[in-house]
Amino acid sequence: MTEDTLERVRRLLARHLGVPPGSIGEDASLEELGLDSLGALELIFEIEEEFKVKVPDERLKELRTVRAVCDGVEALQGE
Amino acid sequence: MIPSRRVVVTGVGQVSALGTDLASFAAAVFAGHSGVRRLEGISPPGLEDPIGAAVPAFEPTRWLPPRALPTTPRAAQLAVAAARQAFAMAGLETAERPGGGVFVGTGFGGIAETEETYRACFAQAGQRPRPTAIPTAMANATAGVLAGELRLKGENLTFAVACSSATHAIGQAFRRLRAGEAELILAGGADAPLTPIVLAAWNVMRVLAPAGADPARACRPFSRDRQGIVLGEGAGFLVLELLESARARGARPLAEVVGYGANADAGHVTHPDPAGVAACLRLALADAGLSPAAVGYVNAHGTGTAANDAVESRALAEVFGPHAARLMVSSTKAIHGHAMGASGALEAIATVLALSEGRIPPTAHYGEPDPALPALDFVPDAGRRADVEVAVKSSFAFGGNNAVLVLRRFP
Repeated sequence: MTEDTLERVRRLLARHLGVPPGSIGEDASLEELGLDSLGALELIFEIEEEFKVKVPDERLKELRTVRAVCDGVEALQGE
Repeated sequence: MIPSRRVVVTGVGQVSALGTDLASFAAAVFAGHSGVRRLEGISPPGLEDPIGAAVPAFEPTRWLPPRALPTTPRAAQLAVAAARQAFAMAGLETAERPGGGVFVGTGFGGIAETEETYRACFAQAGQRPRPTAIPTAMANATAGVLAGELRLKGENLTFAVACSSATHAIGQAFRRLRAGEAELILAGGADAPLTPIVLAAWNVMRVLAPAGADPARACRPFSRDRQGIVLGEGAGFLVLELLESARARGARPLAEVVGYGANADAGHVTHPDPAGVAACLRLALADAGLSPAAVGYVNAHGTGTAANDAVESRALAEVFGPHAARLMVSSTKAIHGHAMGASGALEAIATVLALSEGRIPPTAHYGEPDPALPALDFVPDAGRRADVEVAVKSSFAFGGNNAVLVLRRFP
């Protein structure tokens, strides 16, 4: 995961949660951060728009933590 | 029929063009101060100088956590603000209430969010709707959000009855409580229809009042110079509960709900029928077990259109007969606009305040009487002090739909 990806994911998350981006830990799970299932879908939607990727349904369940989201996005960008 | 259980209002809360707290609303309602303004930054097709009764400086984060905002349409945001204030006034804490109901009236549901989804998707090929498109568009979004925020786990219903939505929601809640089918119901309405397409669509029906030199005075119900409706937005909620449970917890009732009438014109979809309106007024009075002579004040539907105000005043003259000369009739839509599905709730709150404070809201911007209408006392331009025992709140909707509430001073 690059700093750039982390930065952009944190920024999207921060807007949803109403917290400063810097307060979001890399290994925090989306659930711990307070995102419910619909909130997580909104985040993935925004990530798809931001990174111009398409997250397949079967990959959704892997994206449980901030780090997993960043790694997943970068993997999809490389595919 | 003598009602088996008495139903009282123990709290009211509102958000409207008149402000985001009850004190601002009451001050404007009794002084006749208008909340109608030019709408900036909005371009409805075909409408050059849009005006409206928009909620000023609404801060949703005062009432909801940031994470709830994407799934909460504007109408529901306004509703949460109004409902929290009603709860606070009733002296209720937010706590899980298995028997607590939520009855919401809305004409347009999540129209602002629906319109934005369509705009975004039609404007750009391949643009997908957001995952929140459905939860914010659905007509019962507000009822669901209110239940969650206030922990009310009882019956959760939405009444989509255009301009009489909130009046039906309150009336239906009253019936449930009177029948012993619920212990407490948060009832009212919410609508946020100040969108480009809704404004444009009303405009082509030729019922919107033009801005003129002074937009604040554009809506002039029952006046000779009336020129149409001013669209508004807002939310109003009332805590309705059984008198016995209100007493048991030491709450002070503001007013009692004593009657409700509901019927249909079974005629034209947009033009009201005086016979239907009169029949509905009679139904409500009969439900309350009261004669027309018992009523001191009517908070009218009074939209400010040529058709509504003529039909409504004729129906009032017919139903109240000789007593009509002693009846005070006013429309507060002159100042808070026509908030569609929320209007009945805002006006029911004005009616509750009239009973509890002994003050009658004026019909603002009235000016000259219309010689074509019955010569009723429309409380022109200035409010007055009067202790009224019984008041009526009426609402009439497209679809030929009528709703009337009867309220009584407490005690």
